[in-house]
Amino acid sequence: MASLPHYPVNDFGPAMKGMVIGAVGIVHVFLAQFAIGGGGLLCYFQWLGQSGREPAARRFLDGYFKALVLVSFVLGAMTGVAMWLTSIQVGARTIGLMIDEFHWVWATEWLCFAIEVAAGYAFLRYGARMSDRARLWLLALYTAAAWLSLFWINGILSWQLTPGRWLETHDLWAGFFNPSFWPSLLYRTLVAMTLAALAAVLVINTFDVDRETRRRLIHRAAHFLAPMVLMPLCALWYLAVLPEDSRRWLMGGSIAMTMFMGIAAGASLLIGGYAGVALLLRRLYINGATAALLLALAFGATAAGEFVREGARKPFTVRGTMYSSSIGIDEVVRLRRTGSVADDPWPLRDPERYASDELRLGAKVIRTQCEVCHTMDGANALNHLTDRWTMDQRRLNIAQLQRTKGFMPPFAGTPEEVEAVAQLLAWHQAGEPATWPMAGDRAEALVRIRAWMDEAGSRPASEVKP
Amino acid sequence: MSVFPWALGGPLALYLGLLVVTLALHAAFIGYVLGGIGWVVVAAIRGRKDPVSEVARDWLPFALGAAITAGVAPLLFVQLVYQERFYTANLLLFHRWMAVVPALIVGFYLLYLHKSEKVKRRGGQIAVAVIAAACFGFVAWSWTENHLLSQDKGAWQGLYASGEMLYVSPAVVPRLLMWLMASLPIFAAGAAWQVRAKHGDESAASVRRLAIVALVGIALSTGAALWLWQQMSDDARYDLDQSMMGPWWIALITARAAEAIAWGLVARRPAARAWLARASVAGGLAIVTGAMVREGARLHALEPLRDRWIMSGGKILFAIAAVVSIAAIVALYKIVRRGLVEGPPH
Repeated sequence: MASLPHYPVNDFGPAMKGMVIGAVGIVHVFLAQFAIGGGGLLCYFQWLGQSGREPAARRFLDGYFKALVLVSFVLGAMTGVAMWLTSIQVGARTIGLMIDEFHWVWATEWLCFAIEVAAGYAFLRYGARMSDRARLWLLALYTAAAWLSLFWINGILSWQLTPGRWLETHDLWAGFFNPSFWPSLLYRTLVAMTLAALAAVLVINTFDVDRETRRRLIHRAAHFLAPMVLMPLCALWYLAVLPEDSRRWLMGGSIAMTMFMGIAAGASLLIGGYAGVALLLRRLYINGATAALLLALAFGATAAGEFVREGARKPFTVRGTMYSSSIGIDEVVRLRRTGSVADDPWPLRDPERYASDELRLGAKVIRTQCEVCHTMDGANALNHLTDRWTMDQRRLNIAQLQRTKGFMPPFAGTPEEVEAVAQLLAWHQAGEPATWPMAGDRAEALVRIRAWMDEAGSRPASEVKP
Repeated sequence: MSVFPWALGGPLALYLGLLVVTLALHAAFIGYVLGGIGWVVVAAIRGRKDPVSEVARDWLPFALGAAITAGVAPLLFVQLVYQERFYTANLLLFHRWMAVVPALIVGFYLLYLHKSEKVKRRGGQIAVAVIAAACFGFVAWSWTENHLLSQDKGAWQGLYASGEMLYVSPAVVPRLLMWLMASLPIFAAGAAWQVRAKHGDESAASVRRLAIVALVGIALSTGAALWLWQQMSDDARYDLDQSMMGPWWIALITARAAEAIAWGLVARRPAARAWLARASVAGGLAIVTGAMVREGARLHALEPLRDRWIMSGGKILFAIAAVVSIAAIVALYKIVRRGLVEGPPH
């Protein structure tokens, strides 16, 4: 990969950058999937209404569509824009690479989005005065465009996790139709249907209609929950196509990820169980509070699922190509020779805070290589993770980062930079004194660091032989 | 000399062309939103409803939705051809820049609130209109700042080291003023057609007022453009001075002049549909040629051609999708026209 530019790095305070993009991303995914499933549900109700199967269908359609537009078109669209902007803040090099590779796919996705919005607004404005047939066509156009928008974006997102043959060929379609494309698309479609149905049940509860009509509408909406039965199969398929090391994280290798996967699966199971038994088999009534609770549960499942998907990619943002630190996998060898911040033009904002040039170097290295996932004292704090380590442990663990934790990238810098980071952590843990003497025999330490780095190699943990 | 200002060839010319076209589309909707909210604010303060403010109230949420949707495409292409500069400006402005998202969300919901007429008291209506206008004004200012900062490489390191998130440049105010004032004729054109469609011959007074507003907008935006020229960087002025920009300068000035003349005649004869049509067409051309000239000012900042662009597939996909999308929009229009059971939309 060609050398990429150095971008300025912002300090997010105690918040981890991943938390910020995760929060924006989860809300966006939730709303976008609701919009996609909502289209399908509206088509279904339009058909029920015009075929005389459900007299109150039109009432539902108009109320639900208003909610869809107000929530999804405004918040959904704006969180989509926020995703672009946040991605730039968190990983400009990564989003730049993605844009370079997939801009035509993204442009195609934009066309689908534009049709979705146009059809949606046309329905909102004229739907009430249109014939049933025309309404169905309009809704079908909306739904097709919305789902196609998912189709295109799913190819890009799943490529990040499983780029497949793209790694050898760099062929767009090999990357797009990657190993996790179909299970991911199917799973997301099922989630979209589920969210639409749960939101519908909530909206129906706000209607001023008799209980029997409400019960009937709820039961109709619950039909969209039936495909949830396919979710476990889909999840297993997804799991099967994951790279071996990623799968290991989820299956106990990283207990946080295992737990989040458990939360996603458990929440989905609860919703599915309730839908299957209470709504579809026993045709029970469900009130607004329960509907809201189920929707909140679905949000939790979405959040946990997205966390797992993002986590399973570690230590990469694009597997086999770029690490979480936005350093290219092929750049590591060069950076171990030249240093990761030798070309970094961005000054420190508070250089006078540090007691020596070595500490200033350490601060720059941490900013470049660590800050995307760690803070100094806030979330996932380096201080907390390393404050019980001895100095030699720090040196060893940083020099062999990919062995220290399998989901960490290899250290991409010189032995001097490893030493600078180790010293900076020690200095910070000592309360940042005004002077910081050089500890021990530096030359000997650098030799040992070099040996440790060479021993671990410059490749990711998945390629390191034990 | 190539009529196309960027004799760049290959993907770069294609991306720039798409950036200009999609930016022009975005600018048309944004112009309606900015001009429309300005009109709504004035109407709310005066406490009088008029056909134009009613039309604006009705259509502003859609116009903003369309503007945001249309804005995604230039946001994509700018990340290709000005990637490093755009990303750097984003990062340098940080929270200040990210604040455009909540500002747009608040503004969006306020437009819906205004449309719903749920706020009955005059003070409340003024507050809704003013806050929405402030939100959009903030976004316009942020974009102006971002755009100028992306071109001012010399300011980057100092700004980063200082931790400031405010870029101060003598070009910010005239540039912002130019775009804000240029929104008036865009809104005037859109609203004039809408008022005519809704009120027929009774719309003459409203159309005349819109024509006057359009003329004021053209005059002020031209003045702001001259002011901006004086404040521009040497690089930008050099690029705009290139002979290959000549045809686009001529086209822009001609379109602007034709637009002004047409609006002048609309003001004198507001019932004459033909002059409104000419003003609208000339305004459309002014947007497109203005977008061309806008890009012309930063040709020096273009990214070098990257191998990945040449290797990247999907061009054919996009071309097919574009054709299908146009067909889908036409189909959508037909579905609505034919499907209406109570006469045509208004």
